[in-house]
Amino acid sequence: MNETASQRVLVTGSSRGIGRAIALDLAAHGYDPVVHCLGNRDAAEAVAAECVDHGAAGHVLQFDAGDREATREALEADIETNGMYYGVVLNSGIARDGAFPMLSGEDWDQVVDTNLGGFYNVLHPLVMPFVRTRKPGRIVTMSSVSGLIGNRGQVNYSASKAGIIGATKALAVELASRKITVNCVAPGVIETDMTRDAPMDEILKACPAGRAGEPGEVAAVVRFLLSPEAAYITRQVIGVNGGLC
Amino acid sequence: MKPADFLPLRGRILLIDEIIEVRRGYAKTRVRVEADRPFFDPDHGWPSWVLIELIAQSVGIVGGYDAKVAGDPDPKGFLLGTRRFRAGQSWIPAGITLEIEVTEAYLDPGGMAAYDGRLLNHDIEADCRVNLYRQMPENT
Repeated sequence: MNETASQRVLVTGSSRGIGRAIALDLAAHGYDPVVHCLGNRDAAEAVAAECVDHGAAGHVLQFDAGDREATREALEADIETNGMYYGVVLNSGIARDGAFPMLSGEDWDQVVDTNLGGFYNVLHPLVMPFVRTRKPGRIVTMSSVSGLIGNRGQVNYSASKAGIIGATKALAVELASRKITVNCVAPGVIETDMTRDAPMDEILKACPAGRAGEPGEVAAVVRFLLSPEAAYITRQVIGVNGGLC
Repeated sequence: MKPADFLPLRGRILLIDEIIEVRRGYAKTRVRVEADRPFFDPDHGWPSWVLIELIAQSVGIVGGYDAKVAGDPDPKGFLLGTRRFRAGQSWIPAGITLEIEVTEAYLDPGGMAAYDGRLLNHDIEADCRVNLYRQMPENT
């Protein structure tokens, strides 16, 4: 164990994909990740069990980050019972891709409400508890290359991810004097089950690195931003995209 | 015209049995529901969500046809998602022959596309929209 021992870090959307990799990486480096899921409780419990193997408490939270009241209730109950987090990784998100003329209002609302609305829903109940601890804290949000440069078929997703960048930077300004850093990680093409069926050879023609990233490569950046050594880094967007943009 | 002429799928996962009609932006296909098919539940039949795959494969036939007409020997594309899937029943029993119709609703020059698919059987109602990306010959 090191100085990060017992520091609780909430990782939303950590039952699979990049979020799972972040939770496991944090546990392997002495943090105590709180695993969160929307619906796949079994997968979240499996991630938590792996975290326990590394000495973490293995807590699991289940709530819909797009549901403001349910999110507030779940978070307030958790910190009341188990204590405040040292860090939050706002990773959960959804995509409903399609050409913009064919994009329904529901497609727009679901993606914006969950991804960008999730920023408010998750972080608003936690900000004052963060401040009251009078200790350094870390918030890492997850955007996307889609939020940086826009992506065909993802007008809703790009909007939500670009919104997260703006919200992250503004919150960073508000919290900087409290020694709470707020940064954003923007992954490019990462090998997860979301990209499994995509024609990677074609997509990667636009990527100078010539390969997809691995979830662990995103997790390593998140872990650094959570570390004590990253105390002077705030209001930043860190791309993990093989030079894609 | 055989489905394999336009789709890269082979073996049991190729669910479309027959092409009734195919032209630019449109296809009508036929599928026999049999107990030895993938996803078939011996107690109930095919779950209705298999219809999404049947519609998606029919869309793939349209894409394969369009690519062949355009002289593209190796068309690529992938499914982005399904919207507004509706099915009037949960299971489809063996012995029924399904007819599927897919019609292009939108195709932009960059390859973003949407197709409306539906069953033509009078006694089984089902339809959905399929969003996908098709690599167009001009942006290869």
